[in-house]
Amino acid sequence: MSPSRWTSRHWQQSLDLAPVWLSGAMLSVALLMIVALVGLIMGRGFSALWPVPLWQITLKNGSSHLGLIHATEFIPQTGDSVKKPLRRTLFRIGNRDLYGNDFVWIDDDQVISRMHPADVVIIERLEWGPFYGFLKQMRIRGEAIERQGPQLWTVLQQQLPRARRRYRAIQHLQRRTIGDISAAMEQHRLALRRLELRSRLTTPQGQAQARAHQTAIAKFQQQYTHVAEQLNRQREDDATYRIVLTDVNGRTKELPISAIVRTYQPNRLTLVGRVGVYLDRLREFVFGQPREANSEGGVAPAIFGTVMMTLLMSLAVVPLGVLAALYLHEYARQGFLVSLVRIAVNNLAGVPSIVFGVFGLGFFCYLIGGTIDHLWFPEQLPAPTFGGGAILWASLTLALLTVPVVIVATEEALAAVPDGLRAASLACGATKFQTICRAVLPSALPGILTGTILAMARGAGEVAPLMITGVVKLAPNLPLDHVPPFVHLERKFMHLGFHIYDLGFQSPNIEASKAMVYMTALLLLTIVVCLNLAAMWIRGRLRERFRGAEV
Amino acid sequence: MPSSATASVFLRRVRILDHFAQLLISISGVAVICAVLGIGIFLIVEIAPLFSGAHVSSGLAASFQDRQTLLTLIDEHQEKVFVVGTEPLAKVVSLADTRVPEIIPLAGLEHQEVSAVSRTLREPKTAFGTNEGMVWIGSIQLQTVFEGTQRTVRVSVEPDGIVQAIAGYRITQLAYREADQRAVMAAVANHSSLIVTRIATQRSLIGPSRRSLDSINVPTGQFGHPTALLINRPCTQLLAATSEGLVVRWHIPVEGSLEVIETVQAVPTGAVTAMAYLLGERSIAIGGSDGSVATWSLVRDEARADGRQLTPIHRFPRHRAGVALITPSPRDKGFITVSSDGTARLHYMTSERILAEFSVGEGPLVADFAPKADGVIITGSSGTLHHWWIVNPHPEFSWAMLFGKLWYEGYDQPDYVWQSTGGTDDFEPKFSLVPLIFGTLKGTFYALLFAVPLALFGALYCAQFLDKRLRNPVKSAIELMAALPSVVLGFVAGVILAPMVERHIVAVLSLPVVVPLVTIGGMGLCSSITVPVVKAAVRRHEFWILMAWVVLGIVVSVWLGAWIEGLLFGGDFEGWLLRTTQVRYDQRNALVVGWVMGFAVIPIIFTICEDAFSSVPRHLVGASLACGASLWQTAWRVVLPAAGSGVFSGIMVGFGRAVGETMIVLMATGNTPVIDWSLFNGFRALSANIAVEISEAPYGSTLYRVLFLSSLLLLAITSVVNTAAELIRLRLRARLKGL
Repeated sequence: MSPSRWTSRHWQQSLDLAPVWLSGAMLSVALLMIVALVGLIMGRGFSALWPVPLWQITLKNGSSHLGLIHATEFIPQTGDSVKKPLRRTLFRIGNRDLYGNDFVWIDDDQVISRMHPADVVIIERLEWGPFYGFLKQMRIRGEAIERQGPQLWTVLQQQLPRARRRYRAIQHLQRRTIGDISAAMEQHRLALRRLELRSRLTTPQGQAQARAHQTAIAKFQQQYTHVAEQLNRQREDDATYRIVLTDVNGRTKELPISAIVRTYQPNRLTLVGRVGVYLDRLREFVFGQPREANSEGGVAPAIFGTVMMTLLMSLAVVPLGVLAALYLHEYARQGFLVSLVRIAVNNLAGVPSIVFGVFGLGFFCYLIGGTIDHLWFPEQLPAPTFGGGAILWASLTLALLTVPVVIVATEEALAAVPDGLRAASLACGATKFQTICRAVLPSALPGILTGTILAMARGAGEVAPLMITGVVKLAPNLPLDHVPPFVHLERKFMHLGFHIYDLGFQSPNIEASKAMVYMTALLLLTIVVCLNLAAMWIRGRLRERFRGAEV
Repeated sequence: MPSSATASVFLRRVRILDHFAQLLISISGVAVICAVLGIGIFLIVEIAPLFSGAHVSSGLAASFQDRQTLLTLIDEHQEKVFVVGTEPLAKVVSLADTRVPEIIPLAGLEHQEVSAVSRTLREPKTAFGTNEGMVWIGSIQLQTVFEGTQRTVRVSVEPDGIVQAIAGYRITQLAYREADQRAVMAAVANHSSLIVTRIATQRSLIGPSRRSLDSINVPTGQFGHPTALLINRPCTQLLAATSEGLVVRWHIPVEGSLEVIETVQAVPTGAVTAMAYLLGERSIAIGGSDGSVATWSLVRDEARADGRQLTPIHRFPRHRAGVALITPSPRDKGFITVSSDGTARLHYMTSERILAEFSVGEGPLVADFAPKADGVIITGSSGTLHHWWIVNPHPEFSWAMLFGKLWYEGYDQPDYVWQSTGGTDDFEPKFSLVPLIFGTLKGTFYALLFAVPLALFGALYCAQFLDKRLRNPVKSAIELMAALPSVVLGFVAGVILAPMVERHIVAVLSLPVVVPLVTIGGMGLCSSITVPVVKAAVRRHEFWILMAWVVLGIVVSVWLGAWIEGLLFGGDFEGWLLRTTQVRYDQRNALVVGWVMGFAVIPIIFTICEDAFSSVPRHLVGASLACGASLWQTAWRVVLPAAGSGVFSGIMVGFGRAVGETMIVLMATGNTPVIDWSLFNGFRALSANIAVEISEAPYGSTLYRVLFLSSLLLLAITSVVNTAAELIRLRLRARLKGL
């Protein structure tokens, strides 16, 4: 075989295979995109909370900045000048109360020197974002503590737990005690209004009730004044514990110690210290309350809202879906109509979620909720009780959205149960219902479970219908708390998915809230992917079991 | 052992339970299915009121002896009417009981006869002209006040003063308007001469303010007799309608004589008999003695002195008799016209519709809308006051509004516009669904353009060529891809991908060319290696090697992209694009949306296609290969046609998903409702539009119902597409079973 003939044959073969390779490339692109997306979210999410060293940079114009490197990019070049591309760096310089802006772009060729000053501190605060600077002084009850450097730092560390306790006590007074008093007063006011609406104020019985309510209100008013005084005293006392900070240019900032969330010296941290700060931040993220328009703190209420909404949804969707599937598969006479219904149910899985949202808003919130308000909560009108967005309506909307998933999965599971099982049961004299309860359903249970988990995953990741039926950016109260009747289905709630949308697109300070968005996206992704993997795993085991049964 | 009696009780209980369960399951099953199907019905019920139109029902009628009523006003709750006739006094009449009118004299006009009146929509300022050429100026308001739960109407008449317009002559037409610095009054004496008076008020710190008048006679001889006068809001222009069918527009300078800006022939044969500003004063409704009704607006025209020209924008069906009266609605761009034979019509300007027609029974003198436009009073020539209730919840609605081009005020031509809210009270909402449907289709088109080849060929490869050990993991990974929450995808698209694509736009555009070339070249190179060990390894790990080449291809195109951008576009593609093609580059554009929405659609198409490809019987493939066809020939000519309808149904389901996708388009498009196919522009899709607007839409408003209509549209599109896809798939399954 001559070389040229070999080449031409090889060429021919390559040409034949080229489309195959091309389709393989397309599959690779699809897979690479998944890997890239998941990798990106995971990378950015996991690294978002990692404490990085703080830089002090001096510029040619003599000014200094203290900040964390946030991003770097090549300066977009204009004109024809083809020079060596310049880089610039986005520094997070914090101290929003002093500078008005958290971030600054600095061209790399303007920088004279960069260093890591050892005694620099990062103070994460309740308000105004983090402070980057130096600890200068501490004042307790008006007296300055005569310590310097590391010793002062030690004193601050000792003071922090105490400040935290004071802060918690104040918070408790403010949220719990005062909140409870206001809620009780509101209850009595509403009761009065109810009496008025039912025109019971003219009857002696009604007047007696009204008087009782009024005395109760007066009593609570007194309590309120008392607690408010106490609160004021505690606040004044707390405000006497202060620290004085300076920024890199020597500007000072005074701050009550109880406003500190976390402090650390980023350039002195050991690896263990870094892990500690990371874990502490992670803990705050999962269990903490949001701060600063959701851009800092935690997402506990959003996690809670997502979980509660998903559970409520499952509570509604599983019985409904299973009943409908049982009817379709076991009871209904198979024929044209049933296959039509089946197509319709299948179709419903493809209906855009926003359509369900619109339906939920019109039907649940306005029609049913509005009717409930008129019948049972007229004293609160025109403020809606059930007549607006609520966790109940959001859950029911999502139940409607996911019911096809459960119906389809359950039907599939029912179809997979061998007919021999049914025949055997019926032959033993069991009724149809007994057969279903004792023989069919237990075998179909993993399938139903798969459907439920898939529905939950879909529900947890859905946002569009929720944002019009009851999700809000910041809910003052959880839908489950210590105030009777404990479960408040009429409340609005927070949701992880909406949190991402809101932070990523409505936030006034998008750069500063990026860490939170990445973390929230990672959390949501983890939840949804885990649910799906669980469903896949159960389905896989189910298949194996039936494969075993058939043999 | 149980006795037979207890056994029979037990059996009966079991049987009852069985029946009961059957009943319960059937009922709840049917109920769930009905509920699910009820969504469409509920949406239709919510939309229905849009089509109901306006209803006018007759209220009360009251008669006055005065046969020359000049002004009537009605309060918000339509209980009291304020009437001024020729006598210099005002009567306040309760509609329910007309016998005891409250009388308020117009001070300073004693012994004169009121002959003309001027009042502007939604403004309290009123002027009365008399037969002796005097003009009374003041404010008249009807306010509803609550004393506890008792509701009363308070009439306030506050005179500003009396001005002499044309001494000794009867004023037959009057227009008076006040602006910040000046006031202008135009009066017609004895149906012929037009006098314009500029009133300047000098306020001094001490003593009363001084008023200086400056009257000039405006020649109107060549235009005919003035029949109606209007002064614009800043008092800089005067419009007069004439008996010759003309509308003349003058500029009113601060000093000196008036200059004619333009004259237009509003009524070709006959006189202009009625003229009024519509709400917002950007359009004028004009009625003629020939029964014609039209609205005119100032449209941009550089040839005119003020750069604008009066243009007839909307024309309405003719009345059988001449138009005697035009009354604008205080809430929307609607108006009522009454002809001299007593036919009254409620029009809506933009849609050119007649919403209702009713009869007064006699020629009209004056009319007034209730402040909420839910009622109207029309006084007939016999001195009888007729009252109608109007129910008109969606005046602006018409099919043309949703799907046609409409000529809105302030636009140069008819256009498709979606703009639901505006800053001012007189803003007219514009509800064209066309830009939104276009946006949805644009997003879907680009998403499918990206997703279909990837999913289709990927599925073909997965089903036919992929290593069997890899098949299940790959399918699971793709299934996982379907599960990714769309809000996460939208976030990635809007916040990460959009800036990245902007930075590497040329590289991104070169990807579809560079990656295939590099992959084919690389694989050709790999397969040319003849060392047996390597050859076996290549064959064994073909997919991984392929993937490595793809990654390399991406790296190459990023590197090449920067180089090409520097070479061809001077390092600035966006600037080049704007300069050469006038296309502006938006950061959040169709390219990004197509990419990410394609990402969301790929798993759907992939799963269905893969299913279809793998269910093609193996003997077909075997037969083809045995006949000497190559792998690709078999895949392309045998497998693909056999599974063709499955592929088609997969694409349709993908289409359905892309049409309804909300979060990705909401977060990555910028949401501007424009009609532009450009890859580098954003758009607004139906679904995102609903998400953005519905929380702002008041319950029951036109916007609310239009949004419900767009949801119904989405429901209809996806249902049709999905049903068709399902039917096709069922047919395919039957056919493959036959093979």
